[in-house]
Amino acid sequence: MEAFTGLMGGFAVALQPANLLAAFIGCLIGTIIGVLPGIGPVSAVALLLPLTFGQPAVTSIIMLAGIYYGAMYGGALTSILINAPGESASVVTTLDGYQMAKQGRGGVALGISAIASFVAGTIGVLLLMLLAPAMADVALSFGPAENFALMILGLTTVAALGSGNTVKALISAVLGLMLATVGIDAVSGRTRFTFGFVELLGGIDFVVVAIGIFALGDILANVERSREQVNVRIDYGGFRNLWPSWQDIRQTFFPMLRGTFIGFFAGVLPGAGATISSFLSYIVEKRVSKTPERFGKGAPEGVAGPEAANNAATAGAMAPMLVLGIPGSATTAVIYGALLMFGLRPGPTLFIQNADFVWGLFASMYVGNVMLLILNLPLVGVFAQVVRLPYPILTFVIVLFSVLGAFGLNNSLFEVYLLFIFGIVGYVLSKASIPAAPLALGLVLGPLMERAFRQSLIASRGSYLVFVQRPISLGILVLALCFMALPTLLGLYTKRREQRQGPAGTAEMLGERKG
Amino acid sequence: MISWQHSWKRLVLASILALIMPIIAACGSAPETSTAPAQSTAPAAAASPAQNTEASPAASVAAEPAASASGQGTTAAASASGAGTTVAASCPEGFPNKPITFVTWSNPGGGGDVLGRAMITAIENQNLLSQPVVIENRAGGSGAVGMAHVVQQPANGYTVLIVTKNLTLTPLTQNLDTDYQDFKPIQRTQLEPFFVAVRTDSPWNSLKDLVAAAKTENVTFGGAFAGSTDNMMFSLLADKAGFELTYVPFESGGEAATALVGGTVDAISASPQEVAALVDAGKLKFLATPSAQRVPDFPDLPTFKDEGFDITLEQWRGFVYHKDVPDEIVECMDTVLRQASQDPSFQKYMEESGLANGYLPGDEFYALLEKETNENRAFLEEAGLLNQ
Repeated sequence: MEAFTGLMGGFAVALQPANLLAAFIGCLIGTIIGVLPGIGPVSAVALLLPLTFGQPAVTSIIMLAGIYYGAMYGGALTSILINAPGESASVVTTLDGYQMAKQGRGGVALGISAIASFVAGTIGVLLLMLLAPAMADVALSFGPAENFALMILGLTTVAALGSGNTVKALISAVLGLMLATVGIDAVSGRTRFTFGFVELLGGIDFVVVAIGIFALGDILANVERSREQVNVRIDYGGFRNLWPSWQDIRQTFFPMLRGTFIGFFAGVLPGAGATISSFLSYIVEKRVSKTPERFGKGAPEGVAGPEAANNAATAGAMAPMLVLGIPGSATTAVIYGALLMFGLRPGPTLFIQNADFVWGLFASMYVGNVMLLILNLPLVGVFAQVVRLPYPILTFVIVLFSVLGAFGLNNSLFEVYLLFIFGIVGYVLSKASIPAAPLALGLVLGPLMERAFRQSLIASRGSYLVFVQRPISLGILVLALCFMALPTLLGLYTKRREQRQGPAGTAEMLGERKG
Repeated sequence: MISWQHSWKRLVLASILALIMPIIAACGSAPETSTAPAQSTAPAAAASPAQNTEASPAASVAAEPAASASGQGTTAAASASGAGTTVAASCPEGFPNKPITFVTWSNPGGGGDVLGRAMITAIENQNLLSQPVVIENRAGGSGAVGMAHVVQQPANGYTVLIVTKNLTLTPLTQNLDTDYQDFKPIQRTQLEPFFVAVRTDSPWNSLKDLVAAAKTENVTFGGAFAGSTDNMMFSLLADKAGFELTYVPFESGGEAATALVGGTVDAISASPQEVAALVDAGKLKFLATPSAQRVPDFPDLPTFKDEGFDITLEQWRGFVYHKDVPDEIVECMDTVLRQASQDPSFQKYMEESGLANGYLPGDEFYALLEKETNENRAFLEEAGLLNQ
């Protein structure tokens, strides 16, 4: 009840014209900026932080939250339309989203992604309101050992990403893990594999690798195909196909719900919550689906689940930040910094001393989600036209955006050269039909996993038992084991059943025919 | 739909163009100090007055503590739209005639980043420069990426580097061609204390208790990466007190604090700002600080010296230039920063973040850098972290 009155007060704040305007401007700018592949939500928020100064704290934070949501959505846009994921959380979206765009269903994919974000954002905000303090405590129980177990769970999704060939998926994942070792090793303080390049001290930027292997790799692979083969993608069914049909929405409703819950709870955990949750959601959808073979070939569920998950993770990440001052993601870290600059100190007292602010923020997160939906659904058709461009021109646009994005990361050409190198890597991978998504996953999880592993072992003085002695860690490891073993066990089970029933069935059929 | 019946050559041509154009564009802007972020301030400046008129009636309705903030906002907007006419008196003729960049190796929201942004707000409030200042985050490699970048920029005074104690550590641990001698200090600006924190339910109530326990049982310590000041503090303590240190390095203060509350480590080094919320929530308590004097916000908290360990360590942040920047520009920037530090918004930020005024003029700052680098070399050599 207290939450309800608080929320009503929050809406009174969020629905003030100035704050509505702030949410609108935030979402709009966020979407525009998020479309540039190099500028993910973190850079967008950081870049536009000064824009919000000189306004009341609530208005500024509302705007920042709007920018964040907008940029997340903008990231999905480039993933779907030009296969260039702007940040790690939208890599999974490319798997089926880009395939849908190729089949002329880009508009449907965009619409589903917007609706999934809306559903996830709405439920996420509700969960945040009800569970924020409890969830913050969950975040505290996650030490290095638990994080390591979580990363292992994340890596088990690799098998599901490989469209059948597990060995090739593993090759890709190991490549990603190897790339992740470049840079300064935080545990020993030593430099690894930088070959004298100062630019590599901070590691290889994820965005460069992702855009290189996905977007540029795809373009290079298309160069050797004939014009007719490439131009198939321009073929559209008709104008009505631009928006998702009721059937599409019905089909993706439960994936959205599942994605939301996975996303929220993974988002609470510090580290790579949003990314892991999007991968987990994908694997869950693929496992639950009756027709898993459609995944990777344009299944709308493969867009809905992960997109809902990465959006709900945003709400989840707010919980430990607001309650305990522990930012769970890079973007919440920026928002945390902004809060401090406004003289608001996150922590238990924030909910009491600045209740107006907290409830206003919650309400405005909701308003922001509505705003994003209103803003983007009508534009879906416009955006989807992008893929109707003649391929030579589209190629030009994609390369331009990719290079600008890579250059914009650090305003240096080094990243652009890296981008080209990874473009070639992406081409080679696609020639060898090695899936690229596991590489991206390995690159994101690698540093976190290695660090968590070594931190756990230093703290336990070398005892490996630490991973199974801590209950949460043990639980997650068992879950990971189930994830790995489940397909094999299921396969055995069905095979045995077929063996038992199979001969009888054929005999019957034969008998019928005879008769 | 357009029928596109051209030859293969078109495709190749388009691809080549696609590759060449951005490179040309990039080459054009690369030698100059970052035009991209500079452009981003243009819409910001243009948009803020408009939003302010929208926002100010709301400020009076909302019962927020932001009434004063909104007042400052109006002046900031006014100065931005007035395109700045006041220039600090000590600046040479014609400086600055283009936007200035503050480079920080903090991530957005990190200590150096927030300092830079607070300083920019103060400069705008006081209308001290005729050109905008933008912030550029070049995180990575414990500051190495930022240092290497600024050394490569032209020494014309348009690129300022925000530095931390890492300037005296990273050049020693990493294979860098750069160290403090490549920079000309403008000023040291602020001091931030370190605190030793433990769980509230731990049996230790003083640094002496903690040290006594570390001598007899397994006590695990945590803080930032290997070779950081956190690491250094506990190493020195272990040395003086005579116990064997088990140190777990973490990515951020928040991560270390989480591990402490979760029971992975038993004591951490943290800045009060990083863990303030956890202390408020009753999860953590502070035992001591290695600052030279007691921290004003925590008058009851003993220093390491009070507890009988002769160790003094403080984080500091300041501003430096490339070593070839002319002295009159360095002086001009020092004056601008000093005046900006007097702005109420900046004072408020310092106070609320638990930071102390650590002003040192350029020459004293340089002497400090020299002294600390030598001290750190000894520590790192002993810890086996010195880059040969």
